[in-house]
Amino acid sequence: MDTKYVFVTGGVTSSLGKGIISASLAKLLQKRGYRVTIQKFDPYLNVDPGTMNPYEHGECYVTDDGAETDLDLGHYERFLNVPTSQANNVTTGRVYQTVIDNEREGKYLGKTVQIIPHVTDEIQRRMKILGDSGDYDIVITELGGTVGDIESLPYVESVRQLKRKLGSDDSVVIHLTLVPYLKAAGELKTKPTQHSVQKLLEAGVQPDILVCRTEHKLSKEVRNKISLFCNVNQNAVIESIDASTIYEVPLLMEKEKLDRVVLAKLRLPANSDADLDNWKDFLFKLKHPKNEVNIGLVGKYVELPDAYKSIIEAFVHAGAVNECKVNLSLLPSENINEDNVTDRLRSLDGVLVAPGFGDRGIEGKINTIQYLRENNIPFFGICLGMQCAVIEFARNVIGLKKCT
Amino acid sequence: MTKTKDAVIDLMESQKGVSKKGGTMRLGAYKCKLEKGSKSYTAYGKQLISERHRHRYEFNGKYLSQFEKKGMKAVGINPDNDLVEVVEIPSHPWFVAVQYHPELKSTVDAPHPLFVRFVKAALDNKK
Repeated sequence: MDTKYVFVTGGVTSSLGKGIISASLAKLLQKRGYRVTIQKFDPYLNVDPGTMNPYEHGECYVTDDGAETDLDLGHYERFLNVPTSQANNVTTGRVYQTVIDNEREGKYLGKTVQIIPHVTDEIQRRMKILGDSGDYDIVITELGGTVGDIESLPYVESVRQLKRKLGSDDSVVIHLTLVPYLKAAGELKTKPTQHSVQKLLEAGVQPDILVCRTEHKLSKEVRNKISLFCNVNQNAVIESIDASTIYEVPLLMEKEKLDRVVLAKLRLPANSDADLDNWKDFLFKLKHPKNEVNIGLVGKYVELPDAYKSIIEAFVHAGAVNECKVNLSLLPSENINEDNVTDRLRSLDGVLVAPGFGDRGIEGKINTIQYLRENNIPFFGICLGMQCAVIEFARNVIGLKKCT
Repeated sequence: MTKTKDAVIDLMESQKGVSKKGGTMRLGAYKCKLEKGSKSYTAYGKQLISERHRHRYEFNGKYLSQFEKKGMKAVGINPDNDLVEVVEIPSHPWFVAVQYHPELKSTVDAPHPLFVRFVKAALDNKK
């Protein structure tokens, strides 16, 4: 069968959770037996997020093939349990780099190099790389940013062109929007959704499915209104209500039949239900812990938990296996010193010393490790955390006082 | 890091002379061989593992014997270039430190064994 394409765009505001929705849909399709992958297209000009500040952008996720990528790829892997690669994360910087290299090599034969067609062609080529590999039945492409941003325009245009080139049953566009609740009026408001769909329509893309982020249930009236004004079927207005954990979202999407609507649009069979027994078992253990444990995470970037996204999620997985709730305390290493280390760490059952770069906060990490080592408290060091453990041991046990 | 006499953690050979910051670290998956009987080996349940890296500095192998003599063991070694990837203190209830990023491979279907064991060790240590 030809590879089918699902595009996921976002409107109204950022941080709606496109990555989680994409990963949840992918999980449901995978559990129905389809081979699925997800790729992320980021509109910024950095070639990759490797050099971006974790305070601003969150963790840099690294793939098996050594690509430094957006943290959403971590969600894809955590949900799908299938490795991603460099091809799963593309940025505008990378696209431009290729286009400019091509121009320097004379590949455009003297043509004026332009956003359309040269940049949009390169984007479409990259959108199809994983699909053309033959390894996947369905490729989900998440477009970073918000529809209406200047940076997003070439991507939305590329989706428009690619949709035309693919068969009419071979692609589907999902648009994620926000349906806010106005307390003073006591009702959910659909206007932001209408406007953001209009923005997409201006660019020539009619969404097939709307996933509506909301804090309250969508009534039948609200669904009808969105369906009418945004020109999508009623069953394609999907409610995405706030969940207690991101791992609940696949089940919420199943209840809303997101996977069934997608498969119907792509003319793919949806005979049986998705087999989510393992997932439900995990979720049950996560929600009904028999025990709890206090673990410290000592690091440099603790003000923004996204900087340690994968570590935090790994504790969620490990907690569920042990049927125990992991209470994670994020402690800035800069604030830990010889005098207060006992006070800071006394209540903890174990401490992870986290990765990070540069000299700042290293002494706090070393003090932490010395305390854990001398008091027989479980210690887990990662990357710089390991290097600090080696330095601490060299200084305080071997006696190389001035080592680094 | 500043130059000192005893560089137990040192810039990797391959990183010397690297001036560009983007995409130049030691990146991606590398093999690692675990010592039987170590806590890591018990966690993984196998000797040969593959984990992802992102770093420029490494354990300086020159000092290895001094560490081992005093009780910190290198229990995970890259079989291709002998880099130290995992150290442990066997006499400690659970002291495991890794150069790689195990968190990147933890999934719902396959929670990472080191995180699972670390949480268990913390549970056992609970006050």
